[in-house]
Amino acid sequence: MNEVELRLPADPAFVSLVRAVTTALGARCDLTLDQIDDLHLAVDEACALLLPHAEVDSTLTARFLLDVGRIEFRASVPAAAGARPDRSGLSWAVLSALSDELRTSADGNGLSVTVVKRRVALAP
Amino acid sequence: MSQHGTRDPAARAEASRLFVEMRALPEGSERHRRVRDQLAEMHLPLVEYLARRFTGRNEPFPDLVQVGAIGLLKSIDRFEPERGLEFSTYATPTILGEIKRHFRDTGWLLHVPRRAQELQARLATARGELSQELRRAPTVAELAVRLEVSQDEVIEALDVSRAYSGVPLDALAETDSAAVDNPLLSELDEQLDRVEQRAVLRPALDTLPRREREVLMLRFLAGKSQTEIAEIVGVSQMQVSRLISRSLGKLREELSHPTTAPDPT
Repeated sequence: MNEVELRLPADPAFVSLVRAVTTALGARCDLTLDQIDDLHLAVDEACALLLPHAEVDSTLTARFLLDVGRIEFRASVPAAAGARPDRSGLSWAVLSALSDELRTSADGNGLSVTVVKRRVALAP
Repeated sequence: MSQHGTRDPAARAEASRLFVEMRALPEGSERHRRVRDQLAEMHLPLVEYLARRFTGRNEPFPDLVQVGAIGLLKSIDRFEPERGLEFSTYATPTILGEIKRHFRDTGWLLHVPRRAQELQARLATARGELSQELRRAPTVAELAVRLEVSQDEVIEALDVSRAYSGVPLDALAETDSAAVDNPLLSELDEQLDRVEQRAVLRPALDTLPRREREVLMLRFLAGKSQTEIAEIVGVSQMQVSRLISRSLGKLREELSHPTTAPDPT
């Protein structure tokens, strides 16, 4: 398994940098183009969900775990204790539709959203 | 880098001699022009050396040299040898400036590298064909094999197509043609009312053009893949992909700054 991690300012202006590596990483895991597109949207939505909670001048950590036929993306930001991503809005609805697995966690280190995209069986 | 011409003491001495001579000659005279040309030719390797640093950007090398040469000529005209600065030191920022300006003027940021542009057109075709053959979207590896290019080139072309939308999406989105009279759509509309987030989503969705709303519902309510939606709606997958990301952007905007009153239900 390979790991790729980006650390960037927790500011929407930098989210495009995460997106910029998404195609190449998705291809590496042999996802289909549809799945890579989904992953692009999921990266956007996960960041949209987290950034409002990020502490001022903090760092967004975007980590990709690469495996054959599986990619796991986790975005995390330092956030105030008790901060929770908004599960009632659009971002969450979209993320759940796009992900094979979707998790959030909040601990002492902040808030994170994890999205797993798995390749469907490549028949034929 | 002895090919700069200026590192070789003999060549450097010759260059200084020519600079002194040129400045003494009346501008526009035949001899002035000849000395100027000679100096330009001597320092062309400097331009080539600098231009080579930009070749990763998909702009043809000869074009970069040509643009850089403009900077070289400007430097030759303005150089004052008596100041004791080396010519290459003096000329480098000007040459780099011209090359960078070229990227700016040709709208490098908006300018699709020619090779990627060509590949992009073939990519769209191959993507459609492979989807038909495989009954699912292809992978990058499969596309690379079909197009006989490297996977990196496919990735580059995909990112280019994502960044530079050549398709007038508005035209596409506003066509309320009868092409989309899939019974699935009215079903989805009813289904939307049962969704947990309907109070948030409904008013926001209603601000979108019909086509965009339909594509979003197909993707997120019906769980159709982009390939399937492309078939239902009758556009390419790439267009579906762009429509979705653009509509989501609009929705997000709408949800954070609603222009319509929230649905009281």
